[in-house]
Amino acid sequence: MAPLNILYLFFYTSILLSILYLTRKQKINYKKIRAVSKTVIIVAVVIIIVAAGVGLYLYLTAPAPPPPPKIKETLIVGTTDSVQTTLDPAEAYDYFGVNMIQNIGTGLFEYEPGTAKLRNVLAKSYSITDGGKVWIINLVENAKFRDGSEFDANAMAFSLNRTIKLNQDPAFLIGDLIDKIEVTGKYQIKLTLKQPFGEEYTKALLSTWVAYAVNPKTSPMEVVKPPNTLDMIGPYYVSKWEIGQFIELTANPNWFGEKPKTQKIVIKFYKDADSLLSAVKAGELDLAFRTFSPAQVDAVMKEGKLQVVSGPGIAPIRYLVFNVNKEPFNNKLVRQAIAYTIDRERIVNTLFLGKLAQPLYSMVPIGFFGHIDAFKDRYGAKPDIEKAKQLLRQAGYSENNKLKFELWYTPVRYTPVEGDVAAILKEGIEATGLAEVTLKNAEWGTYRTLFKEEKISVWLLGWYPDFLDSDNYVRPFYHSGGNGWLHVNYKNSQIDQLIDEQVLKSGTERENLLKQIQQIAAEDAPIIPLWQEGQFAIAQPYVKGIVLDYSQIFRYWLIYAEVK
Amino acid sequence: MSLKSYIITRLLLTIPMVFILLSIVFVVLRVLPGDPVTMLEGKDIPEEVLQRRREELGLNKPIHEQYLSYLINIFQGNLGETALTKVPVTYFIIQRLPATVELAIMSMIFAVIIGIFLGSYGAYKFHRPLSYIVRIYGMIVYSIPVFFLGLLLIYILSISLGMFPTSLRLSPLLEIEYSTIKITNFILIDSIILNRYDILYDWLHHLFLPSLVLGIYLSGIFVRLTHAQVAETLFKDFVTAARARGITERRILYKYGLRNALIPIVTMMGLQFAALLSGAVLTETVFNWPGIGSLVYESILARDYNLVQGSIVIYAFLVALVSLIVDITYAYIDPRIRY
Repeated sequence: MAPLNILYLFFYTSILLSILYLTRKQKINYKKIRAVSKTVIIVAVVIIIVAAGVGLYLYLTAPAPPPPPKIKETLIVGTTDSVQTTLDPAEAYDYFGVNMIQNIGTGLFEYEPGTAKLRNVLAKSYSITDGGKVWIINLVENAKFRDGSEFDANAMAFSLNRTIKLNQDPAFLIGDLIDKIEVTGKYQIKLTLKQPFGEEYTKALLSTWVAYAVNPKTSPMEVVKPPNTLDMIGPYYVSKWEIGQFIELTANPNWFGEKPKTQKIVIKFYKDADSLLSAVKAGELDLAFRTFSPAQVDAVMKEGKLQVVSGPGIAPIRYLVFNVNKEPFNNKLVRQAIAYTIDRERIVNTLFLGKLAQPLYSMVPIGFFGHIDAFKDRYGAKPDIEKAKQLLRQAGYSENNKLKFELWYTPVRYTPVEGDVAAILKEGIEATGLAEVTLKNAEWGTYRTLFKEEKISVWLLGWYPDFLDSDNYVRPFYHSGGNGWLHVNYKNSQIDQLIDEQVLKSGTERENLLKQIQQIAAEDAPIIPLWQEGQFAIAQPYVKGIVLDYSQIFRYWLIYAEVK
Repeated sequence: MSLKSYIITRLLLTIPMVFILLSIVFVVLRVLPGDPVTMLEGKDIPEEVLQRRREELGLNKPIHEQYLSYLINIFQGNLGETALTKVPVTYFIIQRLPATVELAIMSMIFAVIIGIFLGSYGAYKFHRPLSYIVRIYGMIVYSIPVFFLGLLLIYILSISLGMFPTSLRLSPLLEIEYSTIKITNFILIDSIILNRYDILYDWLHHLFLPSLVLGIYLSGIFVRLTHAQVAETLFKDFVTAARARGITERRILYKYGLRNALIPIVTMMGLQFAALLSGAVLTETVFNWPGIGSLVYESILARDYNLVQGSIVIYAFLVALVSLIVDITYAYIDPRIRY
């Protein structure tokens, strides 16, 4: 407490005690009261004079101006995420695990902060030959692993081979890309690709965490279990990890790149967004990232005491899936009719307050290479109930023979407003007067089983990309060889061919192919894109350096807190 | 039967109890849609990788084989590993159980102090306004959802007044320090052994609010029960006789009234304590308390069979132990009870 506050407290307490003393139970002696009142007044005046004098003295002898702000040595971060499997780059496939790896490791390429551009990191330079099938990559010569071991071509080749050979969940990202890896010099590797893939596509895959360098001296040829981690090359390393409780990152003294601004980062795991938000508000955390509801973000923005940092969202994108093998959705007219009833603006304005999400008219998100608003072009930006009615009648439905189906959603996995989204969709479809929709929901495990076993016909889902390339937003959904996991059962040989072709092209040629894919997808409508959400971090006002961009990488090494 | 025989018999009976419980849990978990590998299937992971995972976890074996193999492991003391992270189940139980025990003990202390004191005094002032207030208090606190009470107290005492932390068991930096020096994972014991009173203070500071919330919530039961039992006892003839002999009112209330009413209260204490040991999921979630209740909840959602089953085994033994202690306590409260 400041000295003046203590004096005020003392002053008011004295007054209060005096009054209490005087008003204690006794016979009232008015003469004494008048005398005592005079005494009280005199005492009060003396106290005020003394307090004022002391206050003046303290003010005049105030200490020198405070020193310039310091950077906090440790930043405390909260999140509702946690590591789902391991921090082994050959196995991790959940957002948080991957994000940790992105802070403790690096690969040949990385996304420049604030952009969707790839730049060289462990790759000093590269050349592409043989029509795009062979990549000769020259590596940097000054990188070291945390234990001081030198990074060279052998280490890079080992890392890539390890991921492919262990063949865990995300291995296909480079396993389907690379045919052969050769060491052609102390700091040079040669990659022969399975096909002459396009440059940006190949770089995007090589920039994923599965292609990060790991120390060949200490990395076993098996998945490393928690709480162990591998020795990698990155701005931080995991100094402590208590599974399910916290992770502590410490700045890597052997990191050859830009040094992290904060020496230590402690990441605490919270069970739900309410307790996370309470902790930030109470000042127990410096910052919190993932996952807040739109209402929480809005409330914090309005309160104005904490800062809300936002960034473009490409994850998750949200969409509606039809199993096109099941009635009535095996009929394209029905799917198209539903597409005409979707009111994306209403979802975004009502549930995401008009600013925390954007309507999405293609499975390729806004801002991505080749994106077009395919569904807007085909079905319009706003619902067209008349058109929907027309299509439903064509499909054989009427007021006496209504289209009836169950619309499924999962209440917890994505946002807390899933039920409301489903309700808005139901309202739109039933506005035709020719449909009856029943809303159903199930927790994720059950939900996943239901659509895997094809017991449901239409359901809401979300998608987080594996790598930042438009291919990762078309192949897993529309390619008959890639969409098996979704159980959409959509097969279109034309779209398959286009998808296979676009990864081999670059520039305008590729862009045109992607446009065609999106147009066919909108016409067939096996999946209807709905919206894409923004990213939000909530932090104390003194926290700086938070960058939220298309890469979805939360870069702890840029963040710092200035304290006086 | 002597007390010794009674204890041995009770402990032996725990084994079939655990066996039956495990069997029920085993069947229920496998009836639920989905399995641990299902949790990964939101991504486009190749099918052969998912199948391999299922094989590694033994999920593609016939149910009876999975059941037998699990029972054999349990009887060999092997609780297995978690499905996705492959970490031994015992790691999580050792990590989380002490936090649950701490919360349970502290909550019970609050519940008993508030509940028994208010209930006894309310019974003593039977037909007076205080008695009615106490009974209404009991109804109200037991009706309030515990998570609502928790959020309310967090808002008032933590966020607005800044008197207590909003959540967690220790401040993050102290938690990291503690993780490197801990011995038993019971903070009270470790901080005394290690002379780390800063950790002890921080822990008490964090423990106060969640245990107060649970304590208030449970005091509703104890208030009502104590009130009814003590009121009934105070109207008995031996109490009137005690008054006639000039025994003080305080002695009448506590030695004659409360002590004779303690048997059902102690039974309830045992039941509630056992329930707390299974983890107060809502309170643990609201206060981010790293206890076993939330662990079981998370592992059910993740369909992590080994983690759920392992937690149930431990819980079953703890419940058996608590109910045994309660039974033994009866003999000390009421000398008429003998084994």
